[in-house]
Formats: sequence, structure tokens, C-alpha cells
Amino acid sequence: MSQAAAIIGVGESDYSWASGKTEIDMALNAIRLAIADAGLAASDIDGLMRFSFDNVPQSNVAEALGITEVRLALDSASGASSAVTLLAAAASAIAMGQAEAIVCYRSFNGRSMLRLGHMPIPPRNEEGNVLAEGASPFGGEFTGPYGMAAPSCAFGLWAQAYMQRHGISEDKMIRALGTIVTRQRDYATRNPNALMRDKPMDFDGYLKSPMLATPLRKADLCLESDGACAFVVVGKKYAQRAKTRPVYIWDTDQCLSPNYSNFFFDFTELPPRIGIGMMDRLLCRHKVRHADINVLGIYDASSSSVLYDLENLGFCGHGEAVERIADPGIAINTSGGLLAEVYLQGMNLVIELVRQLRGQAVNQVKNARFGALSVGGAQAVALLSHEVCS
Amino acid sequence: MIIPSPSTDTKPYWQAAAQGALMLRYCEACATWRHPRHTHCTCGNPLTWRQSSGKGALLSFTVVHYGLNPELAEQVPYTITLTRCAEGPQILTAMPGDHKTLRCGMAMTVSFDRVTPTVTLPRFQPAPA
Ligand SMILES: [Zn+2]
Repeated sequence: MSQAAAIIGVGESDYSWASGKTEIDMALNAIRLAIADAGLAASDIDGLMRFSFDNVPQSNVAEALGITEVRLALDSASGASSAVTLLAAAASAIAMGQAEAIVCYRSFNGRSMLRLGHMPIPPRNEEGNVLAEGASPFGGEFTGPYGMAAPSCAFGLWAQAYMQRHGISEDKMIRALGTIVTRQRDYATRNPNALMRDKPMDFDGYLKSPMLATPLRKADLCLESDGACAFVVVGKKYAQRAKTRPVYIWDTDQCLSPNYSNFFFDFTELPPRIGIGMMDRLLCRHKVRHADINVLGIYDASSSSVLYDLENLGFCGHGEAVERIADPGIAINTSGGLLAEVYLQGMNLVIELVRQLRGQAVNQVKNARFGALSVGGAQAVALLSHEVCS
Repeated sequence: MIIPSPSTDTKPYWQAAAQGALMLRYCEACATWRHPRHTHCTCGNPLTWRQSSGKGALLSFTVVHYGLNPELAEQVPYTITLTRCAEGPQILTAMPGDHKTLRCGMAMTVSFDRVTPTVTLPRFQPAPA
């Protein structure tokens, strides 16, 4: 892993429920802000990277920005782990001299166009039935006829098995989930771009949130929202003269599980134990301890993901997170996360870690030195710091 | 109603269900059972169809109370179950209604629900004691 790659610019579009904008328009907005934040000109950018399922092609971005030569254009095919994959790919490319200033972006009208939390209804046949086809874990031929219509149902299955395996009472589970939700909703009240900025939630309010898939309520599931994020990764040359405090990509690691994308319920152990030992090995490589990490971004597709990731990443033992979450000793998803800021699939978590490590976050962790990111259910992790990797 | 739209590969699964049989995939070379969606074993051999005992253990369940689309809004509450067949593969089905008294690990058995004249859905439910 490159020791010199750093994030020096971040940008976000306005986050909304109905952007009224095209995804390319939002992407360009976020990208221009990120380039300006980095103190660079569009002509300095020579790499463009995105999620493979993003609808905004690099060629259109380059054309709109007036970039005539793109040295490196890449797509991440790792789904919900893509935010880390992009960090890894950008840092590697910088280290290899394949590019000098790379923009990574994600733009998604995830509410006004494609709602991942709600299985879209395809056309009915002549008898008026809906045909479920293909091997999708949600709404495919083996799942759709049974009402397995969105990831929320899989998260319900995982949570129920988690409670039973560890002998966790329903009361205790609800208390832990409610703690995560109410805390992130509180963070969001101080984040002017968070979609839930005007919607604080206390524990009583949490209990009133409608049950979706037991034991998970609507408030336990991430938002469906519109918006775009972008960040700029550079090497030493630009990092040294950046006008912001560079945030260095110390390391990343990934262990992508085909089960995670293809058939959510093929895991023989629920919730799946993904990435066991990965974070320990990563930290060990740099002589950093779990306790040295001040702020954590966890891909909170569901509040319950926070519990599992804390355990799978070694911040506590299996089954212990329900207790630890009351006082985890580490700040998690301080922007409000996917539950309360915006659902930009972990890219917004990267931006929040950058703000924290620059010392510019609205819920600033004092003297934040190390930030870690876990996305895709602990399939991919990254370690960031404002210090240069030693 | 949401009904399966089989591919050429999966048609035998649903045809067998209509005859009251739960079919899984099987690799003769590895003596390994696989989920019905697979056509080839990881060893490279094409998989054959083989009948399951229809028995298994409940891996987990969740009661869905919220209509995730207009079609499902008419069906809530329903209980999604994930059953590990005695042969190994894990099959997801659902039961109408709120079955919050289910317990992970309990014995399950398959039955067949003819939801339209041409479509039969396998459904796992608790095995009679
Ligand atoms: Zn085989």
C-alpha cells in the first residue's frame, strides 16, 4: 500500500428526497466542490473512478470538466464494499505512478429513481400476477414469491439468529439498536446536510417507529435518498502543497464474499462472520491498536450492522456488542451515517472521516488521529490518518 | 400475487414442486448437495436433480409487518423462514401470518402450496411433534 496517497479534497451535492436533478448533474456538483476543496484545477485530474453500478460514465464527467486526457478510468465491482475498493485502487494507482490526481465519485437518485428498500413491481402477466425471475436475493424467482423483497428482510433473519445464538433477550437487542439509531439521529441534528437534521429521535420515538422485519424497525434501516459524493486522492506532490490538511490512506484490506451479493442467505452462520482477523492484521502491519482508532465509519445499511461489524473487526467479542454499544469508547458514524445523513453507500462515511481527521467535523472527536472505515458488512476496511504513514 | 418465472435451468424445480417433491441439485462426483439455482458444481461437473427429504432445521426467521411494495402490502404480516435442509442447502420460504414463536434450530418440514392452477410454492413449516 502506498504510504503517500492522501485525500485532499471532498465534495457533496445537496442531499434530498427528490433531487429534481440528473445523476450527472449531482455528480459534477460534488466533483467540482471536491476539486476546489483540494485547491486543484479540473485540468489536474487524470484519474476517474466510480462504482460499477453508477449511472454516470467517466467519459461524460471528463467531457463536462474539460479533461482531454484521462490516464486511468476504473469501476469498482465490489458492490457495497466499493468505497474502500476505490480508496485501495486510487492509492495503488498513485503508488504505481498510473495517475497523480484521482477523483472517486458516486451519484445516486436512490429515492426519486431506484428505491433499493422496495422491490420494484415488474409488469404483470395476463393473469395479473407479478413474475419474479433471475437469481436475485431480493425479488428473484426463489425469493420474490416469498416476500423477500429487500435487504431489510435479510437483516431481520440475521438479527433473529444473532439474538438466539448469543442468548440476547428481545429487550436487550431493542435497547442496543435504539441506542445506535438515537445516537446517529442526534449527530445528524448538527449536520446541516444530513437528511434527518430536523428529525431527532429519542428512545420512545424509536419504539414508535413501525416494525419492518422483526426485530428491526423502519428507523433501523438506512435511508433511501438522492445525492452525490466525491473525493480527490493524490500523491506526495499535490499532498505537500494542498490547502487542506491531507488525510493519508494508511492501508486497506478486502475479503469480498460472493454470498454477500449473490444470495444473502447462503451464509451457514448468521449473521455472517466476515473479515475475521482482517482488521487485526491490518492494524498489526502498522503497529496501531484498536484503541488508537478515534473515529469509525461503519456501513450502516441497518443499525444492526454496527453491532456485527464491531465484533467482526475485533473491537469486542462475538455477542458482546449489544453491551459495548452503550459506551463503545469510539465515535461511530458521526455525520449521522447511512441511517440519518444520506445513503451514498459509504462514500459519505469517507467524507466524514476526512472532516474528522482535518478537525472540521460538526461532531468533532477531540484530537482525532486515526479513523477507520468498514463497508459492505466488514468485507472491506481502511485506515486513515492525518499523519503521514511511518 | 408474485410468482416464480423459471429459467430453462430452474424449470424442473418448479415442475417437481407441482408434483409434491422438493428437488435440490447434486454433484455425483463430490457427493455434494447444492442450491437449486446452480447448474454446475464448483468442481466443474454438471449438477443433477435429486429429491430432498423435505426435512431440515430452522436457521432463522423474520416476521415482515411492513409492505415493501403494493403487492406485499396485501400480504403482511408474513414470516420469512430460512431452513437448512437435512442435505445441506438452505432454502428460503415463507408462511402467511405472524409466527413470532418460531425458534431457531427447530425441526422443519416442507409442504406444497398450490397458489395458482399452474404454480406451486414449497413452504417449510414446523414439523409436527
Ligand atoms: Zn462436484
